[in-house]
Amino acid sequence: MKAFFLKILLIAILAWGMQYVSVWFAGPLMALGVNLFWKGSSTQGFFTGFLGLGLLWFALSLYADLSTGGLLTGKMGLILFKSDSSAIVILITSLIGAIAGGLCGWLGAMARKLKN
Amino acid sequence: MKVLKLLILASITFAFLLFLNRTVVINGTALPPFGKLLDPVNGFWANAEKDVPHLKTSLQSDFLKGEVTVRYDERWVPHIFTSSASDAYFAQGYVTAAHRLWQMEFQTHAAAGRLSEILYHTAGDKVLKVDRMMRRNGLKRSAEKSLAEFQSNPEAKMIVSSYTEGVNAYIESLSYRDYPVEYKLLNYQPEKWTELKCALLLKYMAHMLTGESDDIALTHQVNKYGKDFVNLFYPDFPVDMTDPIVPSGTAFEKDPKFSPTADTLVVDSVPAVAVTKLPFEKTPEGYGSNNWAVAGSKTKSGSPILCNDPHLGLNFPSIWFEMQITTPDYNVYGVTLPGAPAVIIGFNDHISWGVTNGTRDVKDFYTVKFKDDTRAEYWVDGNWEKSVIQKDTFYLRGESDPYIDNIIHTRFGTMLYDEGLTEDKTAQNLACTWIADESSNELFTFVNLNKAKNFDEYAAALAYFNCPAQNFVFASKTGDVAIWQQGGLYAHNKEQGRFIQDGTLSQNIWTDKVSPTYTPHVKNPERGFVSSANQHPTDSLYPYYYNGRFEYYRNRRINSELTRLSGITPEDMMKLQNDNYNGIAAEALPYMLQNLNVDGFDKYKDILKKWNYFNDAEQAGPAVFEDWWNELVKMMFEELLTDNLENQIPQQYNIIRVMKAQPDHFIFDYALTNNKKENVKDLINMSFKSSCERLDSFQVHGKSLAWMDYKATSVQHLLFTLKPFGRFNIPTGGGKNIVNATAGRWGPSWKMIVSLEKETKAYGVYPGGQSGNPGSKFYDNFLDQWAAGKYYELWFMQSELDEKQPVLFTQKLFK
Repeated sequence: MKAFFLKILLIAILAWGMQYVSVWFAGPLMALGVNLFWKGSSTQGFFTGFLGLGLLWFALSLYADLSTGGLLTGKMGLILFKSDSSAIVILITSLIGAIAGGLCGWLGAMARKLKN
Repeated sequence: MKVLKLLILASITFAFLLFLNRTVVINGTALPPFGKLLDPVNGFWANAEKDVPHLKTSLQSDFLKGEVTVRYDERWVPHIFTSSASDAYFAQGYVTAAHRLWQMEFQTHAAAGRLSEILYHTAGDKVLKVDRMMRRNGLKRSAEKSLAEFQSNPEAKMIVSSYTEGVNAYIESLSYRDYPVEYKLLNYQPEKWTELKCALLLKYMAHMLTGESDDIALTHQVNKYGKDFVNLFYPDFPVDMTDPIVPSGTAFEKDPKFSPTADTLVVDSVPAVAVTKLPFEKTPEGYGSNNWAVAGSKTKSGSPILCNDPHLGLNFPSIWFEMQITTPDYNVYGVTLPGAPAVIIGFNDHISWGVTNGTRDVKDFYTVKFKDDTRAEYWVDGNWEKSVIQKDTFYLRGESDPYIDNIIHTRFGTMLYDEGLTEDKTAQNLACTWIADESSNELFTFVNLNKAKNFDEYAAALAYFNCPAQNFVFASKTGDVAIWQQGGLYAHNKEQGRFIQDGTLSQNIWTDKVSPTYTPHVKNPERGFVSSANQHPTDSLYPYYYNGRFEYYRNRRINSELTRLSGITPEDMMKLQNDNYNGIAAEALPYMLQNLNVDGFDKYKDILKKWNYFNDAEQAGPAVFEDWWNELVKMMFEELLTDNLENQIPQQYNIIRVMKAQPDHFIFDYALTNNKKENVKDLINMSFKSSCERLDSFQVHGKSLAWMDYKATSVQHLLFTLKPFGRFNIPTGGGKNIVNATAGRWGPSWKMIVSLEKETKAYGVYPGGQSGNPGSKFYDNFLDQWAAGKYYELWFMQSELDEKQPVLFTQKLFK
């Protein structure tokens, strides 16, 4: 159980760092990497990736929105999703990160099982 | 089995990541790369601004000679302090790019006919056609000629290369995270800036200001209706000559190179051709402007006051970027065009200047006779000559193969409308010559105006200006005021260029230009002011022939107000720039009401009778009049508007004149009623009825008759489909042919008032903001002030330590 939460934290921190110095998908790939080298089930793989990336993208986008008065969030929301609700934009952002992270985490865990 | 499951999951995962990382086009709509775009670390979230734009506090560059300080004031206007001209131009490039990079690249791509490289995957052949027309109109070609001119002159070469270095210093510092949001949405990246792009930007402005020529439309009308018709509705000089720029009756010196051409009609037959309606969007009529300068004899302070408000499209990012540039040799403040060096409209420690469009016709059309469909040869003076066929390459986003266009050049100009662009055979054989398609150094006009200290230096600066001719207004602290319509003026024969010309006679090719000293100008006139609002530069006494579409209302209003006023203050000038007097209504409405005998619609009759002819934002009169008048004009010229030919209708001044003097003119007979013959009075009643019915339904759908709602002024992003990046229903009055020339999609793009006292007092405002970033507070923060007719006090810093206003941020550039 403790391992589950530690994995999520590690994935989030590594993803944040990797995304900062390279590209966006380096983040989800961290979910793959962590689950490749840390023992756990496929389900754990998916959920640590899902929550690791999902919560990270949620926190970062929420902060960006709040600290800038949501000026750009609303405009982008209208352009992309026909809605100026910050909540929707943040939700979709988080979901995209979460699903990418979840798939990568699941893949990592599965690859580990095959390796052993 | 496990391996198979793994492979399937791997495929799904990587396919998903791939989809999130690229643009996917579905049914012509491009879905952006959602993963890349929504990444909170690098995507659009990074473009959201907290309080001020994200700028580096310092930059090191080997190119710089000394240290540069940039101080950003409360309105985010950069005040740049340098120790050399090359550092100044480098800094201008760097600072402008830091705020408007996407706009600079997009506009120069448009000018170069390269929009297909960015938009072909969604816009397809529509954007390719636009690009092909840009190349055929010669923007890229003439920019290359100008660039060669710049590079052959040491000072010009230094200027464009320094500016380019500055822009590239900014571009090189960028990673994906720093890109303007438009790059992220459209998923492409900025390319290196080149010196050619500086030239392209200047030609792009020339293209915007050149507008449309009436040659094709008038040719059709003169052939169908005769010369009397054309002279009645499109006189080169109206009988009641109204307020030219150079006061009527002024004697003009003749250029010793030529004998006067204004009376020498050489060709009196016009090719009997007509062209089907061309499938291209026209540059809107009305890209004009106002400027004037009042001498000290008429001002309260005793010093001259200069005013300018150029009328251009209302877009984001704003056309202009405000800045101050200081070197040991000059200290200049004003607005710049992102992508071109120097300050375009503004003032320095000695003088001030401003610009309005000359609106002279600077394009001529010729019918060319080709030997056969290969178009390899054409007939001139009894012989076959070889055409020059140029291959032009267009790269298309999303396609591996480029499009190759064959552009044909003849002595009479470029063939504009080849196969694939139009179906019409006559159009396909039209060659076009454009004054801008020449080598020229307009850049030097602005560079030298930035440095100019007096009238002589101003006149020398203007001599470099070629196309399209502009009215440069001038005032100096020593008390001079002047105005000069400067730009290439070919010594045409009478009526040459008014219609399409015969492209088999070399005598119709342009000869030479009137020397710059002999173009229309006036200095320190007795009446105590100079002004221009796109009207005729002269009366018919000017010795050289010219034609064009000229203003008849704003100029008269400005001149009558400037004549009436004395002890003038900057506040008086602000009132005048925002004046909403509707001269067209004052001239047409009384006649229309006099002849109205329709029953009912009392609500609208009341509104019109109570109206004071001012297009103020909340009044209903302007909307009712505008709707009725437009309907009336449409009915008057139904024949011209519906014959499917390339056509134009007369200007309103001439329509009103003829309407009153000849209400039974045959053109007013409404074409759609075959057995009835109408005159203007019938049309007045018919149009009133249909207009009121439309206004009724307009209100049923929730809209109000307030002029600001009817006009619905908006400022929109250059990518107009991105509506959330625009601002709509801006509460402002004004309109076409009104001093406050704010229409639906264009208006005063900059309003400036400069009082040339010992300590310069200057005021300005524009409808946008310094930042091109929609996520910035500085994207549109000036708009409300502009709409309300208010101004900001411009801070003309006298040293980098000046503390009169707050400084929000400082940047240092060093070697």
